[in-house]
Amino acid sequence: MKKRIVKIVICVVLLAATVFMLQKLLVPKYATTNEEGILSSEYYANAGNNDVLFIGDCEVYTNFSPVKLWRDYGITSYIRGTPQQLTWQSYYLLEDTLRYETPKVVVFNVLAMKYAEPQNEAYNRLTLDGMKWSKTKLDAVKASMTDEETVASYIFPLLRFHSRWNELSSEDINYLFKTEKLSHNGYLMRVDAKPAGQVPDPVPLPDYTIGPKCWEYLDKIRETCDQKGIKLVLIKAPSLYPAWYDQWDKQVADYAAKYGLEYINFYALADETGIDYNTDTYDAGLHLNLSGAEKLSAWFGKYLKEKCGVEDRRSDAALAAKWAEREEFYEFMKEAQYKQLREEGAVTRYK
Amino acid sequence: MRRKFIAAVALVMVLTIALCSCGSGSNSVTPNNSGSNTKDYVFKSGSTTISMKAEAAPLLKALGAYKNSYEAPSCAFDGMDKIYSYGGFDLMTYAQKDKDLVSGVVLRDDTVETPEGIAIGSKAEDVKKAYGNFEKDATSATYTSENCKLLIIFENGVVTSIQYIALVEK
Repeated sequence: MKKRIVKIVICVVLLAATVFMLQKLLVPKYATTNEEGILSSEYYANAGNNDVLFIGDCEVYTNFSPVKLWRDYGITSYIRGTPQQLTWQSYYLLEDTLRYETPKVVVFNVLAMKYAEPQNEAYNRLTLDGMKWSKTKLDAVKASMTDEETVASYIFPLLRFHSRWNELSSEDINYLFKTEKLSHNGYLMRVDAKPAGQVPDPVPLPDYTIGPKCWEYLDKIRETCDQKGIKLVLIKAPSLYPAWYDQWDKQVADYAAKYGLEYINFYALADETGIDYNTDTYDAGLHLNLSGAEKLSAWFGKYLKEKCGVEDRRSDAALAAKWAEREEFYEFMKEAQYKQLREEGAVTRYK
Repeated sequence: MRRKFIAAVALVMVLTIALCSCGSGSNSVTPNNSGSNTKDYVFKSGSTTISMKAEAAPLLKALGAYKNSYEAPSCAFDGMDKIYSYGGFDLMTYAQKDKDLVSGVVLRDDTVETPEGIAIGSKAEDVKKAYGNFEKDATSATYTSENCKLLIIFENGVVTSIQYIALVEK
């Protein structure tokens, strides 16, 4: 009888190990393509001691530099931004962050308010797969799924990616158990520049009403911040494309006024921030490059210090040592990208 | 007995691995689509017929020089969305594998019209006659064909925007 139990246990362990290894092998690694997919998971190694938390889509992780905020103002911050992060995902990433720390200020970029419903599995995966398992993640998955997705495929990604075996490459082997650091506290650096040129006129919409699900989750973000004594700041990062319609802007501004929140539309502040769309964007007006992100961070750091009372923490030796390491990696990546520009004429990889 | 046990364990592992290779569906998590262009709403510029999801390269060649173009990368995925402005209308494309396909056409002024004779400035009643009924006092009307959603927006009973939008799987 005892022998039989041992055999069953061995069998189960071997099966579990096989499934585990297969899952590890088959899930996308986001190491050399679609690298933004690892942003979500990078937070956990940097959790704690962040006074400012940014949540939102690509307009936060390309447009603000936490290293610049530290250097100029001694402000500690983290950007939990992911591609096309929807409003409900921002809420759950905030909730997830609160499991580890309580920032003094939360900055939410409102561009994703234009999406009233779940959009696309591919983008959902980039935000959700990297989150550590918790009830928060489960709730985030449920809120985000499109009709074709299942909760089970998030719990066991093997169910989703089992047929990826014929796409496996050396990346899947090389990054089976390791990941390489990509971001600077959530900031994704690009040093190259592409002038905006002539941006097409916005396409008229039949209805500019922001969807109820967005308001529901913005309410949750606001209420959570209220309960935790966190100051919430709404922003619309500077960009020329895609269109951020005046009608949307007014609805967000009205919401902010109703609840006594700050709402900063950076597009309107180009003169103050110094953003020049001929030199400060790497993709013709959608996302800022390093020059633009540093300009924006210089302006916003002053705002965080003066209007939000975020403290200068550079006198904390332990923190300063940690940020010195981050600055070193920042300079390393900056130089690596400038080297690519000099030698290859373009930035084709982050490092 | 021992051999049987080892054989059973090996069988379970082989079956697990085999399960992983049984899928024949798309492995990609990047949006994609497929489809043919029949009985669709199409836009015509001169002798060039523009169907949604058609390959863009031959159309761009046929349409000749554009006034302006703009490229918009997606946040994460490969490929560019492109917009070509021809004055009266904009042609939009999206990337699929190594080709650009038509994702939309937006009519910008009254120098162009749909093959059914509707232009910016047309009356809502004319839209009804050309494409079919829509709700009274509606501020927009949508007509769907196999590959295309035709969106017409009104203001005070007058057409203010006409958009051909490709029906693409998300």
